[in-house]
This record gives sequence, structure tokens and C-alpha cells, in this order.
Amino acid sequence: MAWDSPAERRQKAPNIVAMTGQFNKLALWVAAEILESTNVKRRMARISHFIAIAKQCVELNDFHSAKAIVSGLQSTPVWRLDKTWSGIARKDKSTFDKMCEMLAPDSNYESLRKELRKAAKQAHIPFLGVWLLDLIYLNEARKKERAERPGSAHESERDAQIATTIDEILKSAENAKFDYDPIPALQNLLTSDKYIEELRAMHEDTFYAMSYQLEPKETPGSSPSRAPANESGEQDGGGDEKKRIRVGRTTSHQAMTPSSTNVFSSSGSTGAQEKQAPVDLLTPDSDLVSHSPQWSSSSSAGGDNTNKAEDVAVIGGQGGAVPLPAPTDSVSVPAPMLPEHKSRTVTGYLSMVVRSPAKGGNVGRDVVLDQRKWKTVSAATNKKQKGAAYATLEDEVTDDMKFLDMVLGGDVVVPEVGGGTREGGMQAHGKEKSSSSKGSARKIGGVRSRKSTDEESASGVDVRETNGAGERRGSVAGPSPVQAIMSDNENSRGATASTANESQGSFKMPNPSPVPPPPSAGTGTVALTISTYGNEMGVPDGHSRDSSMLATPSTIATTSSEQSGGSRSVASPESNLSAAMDSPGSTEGEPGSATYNSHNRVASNVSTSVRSEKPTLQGTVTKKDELDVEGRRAANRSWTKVALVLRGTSLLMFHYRKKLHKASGSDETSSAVLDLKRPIQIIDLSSTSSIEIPCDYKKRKNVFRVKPAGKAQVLFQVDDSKDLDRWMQAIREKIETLKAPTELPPENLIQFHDQ
Amino acid sequence: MAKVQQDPAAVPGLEIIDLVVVGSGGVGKSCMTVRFLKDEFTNEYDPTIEENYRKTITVDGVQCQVNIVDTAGQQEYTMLRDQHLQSGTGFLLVFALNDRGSFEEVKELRERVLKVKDSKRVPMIIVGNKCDIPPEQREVELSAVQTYCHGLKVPFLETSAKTNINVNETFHELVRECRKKKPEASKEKAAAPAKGAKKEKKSGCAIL
Repeated sequence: MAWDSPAERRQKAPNIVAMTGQFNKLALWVAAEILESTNVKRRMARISHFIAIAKQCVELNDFHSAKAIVSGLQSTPVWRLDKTWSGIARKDKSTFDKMCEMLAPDSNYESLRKELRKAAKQAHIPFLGVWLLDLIYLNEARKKERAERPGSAHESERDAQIATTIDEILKSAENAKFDYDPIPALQNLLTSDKYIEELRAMHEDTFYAMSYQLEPKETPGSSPSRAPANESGEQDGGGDEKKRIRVGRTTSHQAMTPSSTNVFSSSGSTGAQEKQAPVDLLTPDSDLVSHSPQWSSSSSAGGDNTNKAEDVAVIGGQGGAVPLPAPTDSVSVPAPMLPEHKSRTVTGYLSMVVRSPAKGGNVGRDVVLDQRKWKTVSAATNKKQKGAAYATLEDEVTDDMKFLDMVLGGDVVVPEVGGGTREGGMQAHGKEKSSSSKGSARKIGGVRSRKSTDEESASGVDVRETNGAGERRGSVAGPSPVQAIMSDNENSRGATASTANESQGSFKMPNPSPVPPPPSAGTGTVALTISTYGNEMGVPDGHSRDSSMLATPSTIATTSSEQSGGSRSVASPESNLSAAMDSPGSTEGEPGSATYNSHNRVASNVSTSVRSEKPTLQGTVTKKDELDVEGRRAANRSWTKVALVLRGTSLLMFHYRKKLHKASGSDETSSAVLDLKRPIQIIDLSSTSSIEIPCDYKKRKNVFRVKPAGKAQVLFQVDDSKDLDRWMQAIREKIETLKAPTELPPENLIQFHDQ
Repeated sequence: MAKVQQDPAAVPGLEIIDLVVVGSGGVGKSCMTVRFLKDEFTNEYDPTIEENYRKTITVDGVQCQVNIVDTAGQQEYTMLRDQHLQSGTGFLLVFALNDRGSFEEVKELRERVLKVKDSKRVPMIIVGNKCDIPPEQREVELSAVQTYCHGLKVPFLETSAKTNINVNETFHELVRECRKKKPEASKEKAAAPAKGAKKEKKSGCAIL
């Protein structure tokens, strides 16, 4: 049984080893494909896709591949993604269950054996493991018999059985002939060194890390064992491997991976959308930029996609529940020490940049792990400070980038310190060198937005303020809604705002805050350019540049900028500041949207109390309006997914974007990307009479009902009873506290707002 | 995929326990399993028949049926391991006393089991097989194993499948471990249906 002995198997049973090796690769690849997508929907799609493939394999009598795919799907890192699995269509799920059952090792592969027997006469590829098991057992029996009663009839019978089994295998091998035309291109691909190399590089341990990042362990109850630190420790070593994994994906599966990433949303502004910069949202919890879980990538699809850039912002960080330790050599800035409005991060997925807190009017610097790298980065910065033209800078930076690329194998974020004391700003360029075969070698993307800081603390401006405490509660302290002030030179459009924490941008929306109007064009050349390349895997990965080969809408900006010579990508202030609402001008006067206007008063009213507060609680829920204010059945009584935020004395609801990113704060199950424009609905708790668990609504579980003023009734459904408790408690507390000094006019009725 | 389905041979109400035997190649897993399942091979012995992996035993006066999934011969199918592990409730981690590497492997396997089961305590037993070998061939220090197992509160037994020492005891002990775990398991099960319910709901239609 040479294949069973680690020492001999390669020499004596190379074919079996090849077979198992191929099996493992396929399974690993399946797992990798799924774990690579940060987007739940995409993961679901991929799982369904693989289920379909496996089914085809079964139909083709390719049990080997079917088993491998199923194994990949059942490998724990994938299998444990409950949220993803819960979204698989029932039909697919049942197909999958059937296959699992058929291929299961239970009862000594009872069902698989049956299938094999059925297929014996046709072309088929068997699952070798069954026979290997038999042989082991027969051999074991034979040994024993020989030892006990040498030369007995049993022994020879055992020999005969072994011979039969081997014969079966051989016959099966003869039958493994399919009548298909070979496709040389495919075969070349599959046998190419590159492909094999990639596969070899896959490592299961890294998958765990990825998996935990996608759907962190649930803390309470059932699984108190949290070992994320451990996981991520393993992950560090896996950087190399991941790089190759990605290559693999790109080579063979570009079509499958249109991974859309987070982007600082530029919600359909006038400007050229294609210039939207891909901006990666930072995991609020971790100041290690690196861990931001997205990676955007260059589109091999090129500019065609340009208009499809998705604006999505991630709420919260995936890293939330899975505190990833800094890579050992990194300079770690302990999160809690960062003043929440000061730590700024322009993220790249360069795993190693840590942004230090800003001091005074200066922008914080990037601290890069490696002394050498750091020097490079700061050198670039200095040049810019000396007033080098942007383009020039870029060229210089490019060289630096090359260097950094070499050193890091990743992307580099270069901070630029700009402007005077009153203006904080920075430019950062992420560049990617992609070694993609498609040849889109480099991308420069950026959102440039400009901000004036006249009334802000000079430092407190950054789109991506991270809140030290992490979580989505983060907000820019005080009435300085960053987004609001960002605007491009024309001042007519808002600059792109998107927040690492949706909380920042979104919560401020209804703010009639006394924020100064955007500065005149003169004030600022200082721009904030953020271009990032997130890492979709959410793994610290210094080598993610290869990710660039992925077609991703979010990189579109980069691509386009490439077209324009790669120099001016920065000039993309077109991206609209969705937060326009935020700026005082609009709130008080002419809000960007008329619809909003009508509710303006209410919004401001509410928000006065709200604005300086952090959200107490937020999450994604489904909502159903039962009755409207008048007590009539609400016009639209369907359940809709919304991002619900309890902030101040209000319950704010935001549009839940389809392209959401799973995020997980420390205790949130998921969050959505908020539409920064405006809440779609506001419930003022000061006039809310009650919150209860409805006794008359049984169709769904984990539902609570809020009765805002008037006769309105709204149902909310949350994910589980834990969430339910949390929400109930939080809202109830709010109501209680409000009732005590309640002088608020009951004017803030529930506002419906269809967008 | 853990399936405790209707089994024709199963007596209603009979406790069914799925055990998985793991360990690196050549440590005598299959030998042990065979020992346990069939003390003596008979003429009819045919490994391909599934009944051979099932046995009804009486532990502490209570009968139960033990289903065994053996991973023998399939170590190289690394991606299969998760599948195997998912299917079991109790685990037999086998190493050979004359093979240091196999003990290291057991440590890894334990981690893996915990991960797969996503739990801190999983019924398992660590078995040092081949205790019949002469002392000079021993590679694994008994004290080291004992310290390891004691620290983790995992029972440890030395066995010899060849000479049939402690084999039945091992399986019985594992059954006890599984039973110990049961009260907790039922708690977890209480949580599980809720999860399932959630799943169904999600795929349902929107109720207007």
C-alpha cells in the first residue's frame, strides 16, 4: 500500500498521487473561488455555479471531479459561511444535498458504490478513494490472516479479492474515455506551469482566515471559541500564496469575477462617472489599512465597463470581529489611541501602510513597516510639497512605485500633504502594476475631492476618518461633516463622499449643521485623492497587485485615467458628493433634491439632536410599513431591506444598496452601504409611543414593531433573536429617556419618502 | 451531511454514534477498525459491504450502534478530510508509538477537528497504537503524550491493534465521551433549527 506511506508514495505510486493531487487542487480552487469574493451575492452565485458544475460532472460520470467540487464546497472555510449558504436557492441546495449524500463516505460509500456500479459500463471517472480504502482493508485482513493462520484458504481468497479490486480499477481506467474533442487552448491552460503553480500555492490555512473575515465567527453561545488571532497569524505567511491564487483566477476566470468593490460612491453625478475613483473603504476597526478587505482591480475588460462603476461603500469593517494582528514587522498604531477624528487613512490594499494620526494642520503620515519603503514614500511626499507639478510627481512617484512594487509586490499609497494650515488634504496615489497578461499595466485612480477646512479643525478632514473605536459608530466628531465640505472647485457639485464608515457620511446627511459653505475655488488646490486598491480577500497581502487582473468595475477609474495618459486621473472631482445634503447651503436653502426638501424641516429638526451623536446601533433589517400616520394601511406594505440606524433620538432608514459588502463590526451581523444622500425614512423616537414584539404578526420571526407618532406602525425584522434584543433594548431605552423630559413637539411624524 | 437516517438495521430508539477514525498513513487505523468491528475475519469478509462498518455495542449498560468512517488510504485526499470530519460526532485520533511524525499529525488533526466542528470541546480520544513494539523502537515519549492529552483533557490510551489490546476499550471510551458531550449538543441543536428556519425564510417570497 505504497500510496499510504508518506515516504514511498511518490516513487511507488505516482499515479495515485497525481490523482489525489489533482483532486485536492480542484477542491482548493473551488474553495478559493468562493472565498475570494467579499460580496455575499457573488459568493452565492459562485456556489450555485459550482453546484451546477458538480451536477454536470455527476451526469458525465465524472465522480472524481464531482467529489472534488463537493469537497471544496464542504471544506470548512466555505461550509461555515452560513449567510452565504442561506441564500442559495432551494433547488440548488437540494441538488447539492443529494450529491453530498451520494458522495458521502457514510456506510462505506454505500451510495457512491452504487453509482459506480451503474456507471461501470459507460465512460466514467471513478473516485479512487473508494478502492483505496478497500485495498487497505483487504490488505489488512490478509496480513492478519497470514499472521494467524498462514497459508489458509482465507489468505488466497484475500489475494483474489485484491486482484479483483485492482482489476476493477484498471477496467475503470479503460473506461475513462470520453468522446469529446480536446480543446488545446484549455488543455494548455490547465497544464501550464503557471496554472499548476498557482494551485500548488493554495493553502488551506489561508482559507480559514479568509472565511473568518467574510463571515466572522459569532461570538455568543454556541461557539465561544474565538481563535481569529490564530487564523490570521497563519494568514501572514500566506501572502505569497494568495498572490498566486489570484493569478490563477485571472487567467482562467476573468469572466467569473467581476468583483465589484466598494467605492467611494459617487452617486451619479453630472461628471464623468468613469472617473470615479475606486476608493476602498477602510475597515474602521483597524488602523492597519492593509486589512481593508477589498481589492479592486483593474479591469481586463477595459473601459467598456466604465460606466458601470458601482458605488458602494462598506459599512463597518470586515475586520471588525476578526481582529487581525498586524504583520509582525509592522508599526502598529494601537487603534484606541487614535483620536477618532484624526486618524486618517487613505487605504490601499497595500497591507503595510499605517497612517498615523494627524497633528495640527498636517496630515498624518503613513508609517510603513519597512524603513526602506517608508523612505520612499516620504520622499515622494516631499517632492510634492515642494510644489512639483502633479504630473511630475506622478512620474517620480511612478519610479518610486516601481521600486515599491518591487519591494512590496503591492500597491503603494502615497500621501501627499498639501495646502496650508487651514487646509488639510492629501493626495494619495495608488498605483498598480499589474503583470496581467492583458497588459493593463498600471492604473492610477483617484477621487479627488477638495475640502476646505475653514471651520474645522484643520486636521479633522478626511473622507476616511477612522474612528478609533472602529465600528460603524465612528463619526467625525462634532459638526464637521467631512463630506459636506468637500467639493470640487466649481463648488457646484459635491465632491465624492463616501465614508469608510457609513456612519460618518450618512448620519450627517440630515444635518443643518453650521458647517461653512464650501470654499471658493481659490481656497484649495488641495485635493484629497484617494485611490485604492482594496483587497477583496480581505487579507493582508503585500502581493495583491496581481489582483489588478481582475475585472472590476471599481477600477474603472483607473483604467480611464490610464487612457488619459495616466496623469490626470486625479482630476475627478466630478464625482458627486452625495453628501451635498449635508452642506448647510443645501439643507437650509435648496437641497439638491426637491424631494428631500419637503421633509427638510423634519430632518433638520431631528438631526439637530442627532447630529453630534454617534449612532447607537445600526444594522440591516427588513422593514414593513403597516399603517401610515393616519392609520390606513400603508401604500407599500412589502418588506424592504433597509439600513436602520439608531442615532440620537431618531431611527433613520437608508436605502440598502444591492451591492453591499458584508461587513461586520464587533457585534453587527451585517451592514449595508448607505445611500449617503438621505435617509428614506425617519422615525422620531421622541414621539414614538411604543416598541413591542407584535403578537399578531407570526409570519416572520424576530420582528419588532415600532409605533411612531400618529397611528403609524412599522415592523422591523432582524436576523436573530440576539439582534432583536439589542434593538428592542436600545430603542426602548431611547424612548424611556425621551419620555422623561418630553417636551418635543409631536410634529415629527414618520416621514415616508420614496426615492 | 451528518446523516442519521433511517437505517433498516437500526432498532428504533437505538442510539447511533458516528465515529471517525483519523491519523496519518500506516499507523494502523484500519487495523484497529477491523479489530473492533470483526474480531475474526470470516470467509465472507468483504470490505466493500457497508455493514462491516457498523457495530452495535453495549457501553455502560446502554446499547448503541456505532458507525465508523475510516479515512484509511485517503490521507492524500486532503480536501476530503473536512468532509469526513463533518460527518462524525466522535473522533479517534490515532498515531503510532513508533512514529513521532504521526503524533505531530494528531495534534494538527485535533486542531482541525475543532475548527471543523467550530467548538472547543469535541468528543475525541487519542490513541497510541502499536504498543506491542519493543521499547527501543518507541519514538514517542509517553510522558509527552500524557502531558499533552491531560492538558487538553482528552483521554489517551495505548493500544495494540495487532494483539488486540485496549481496542474495544478505546471505542467504548469514545462512546462515553460522546455521551458526555450530548447535553451540550442538544443545546446546540436547539439553536440549530432556528438557523434552519432563517434559511428557509430567506428564500421565501416577500409577503405583501
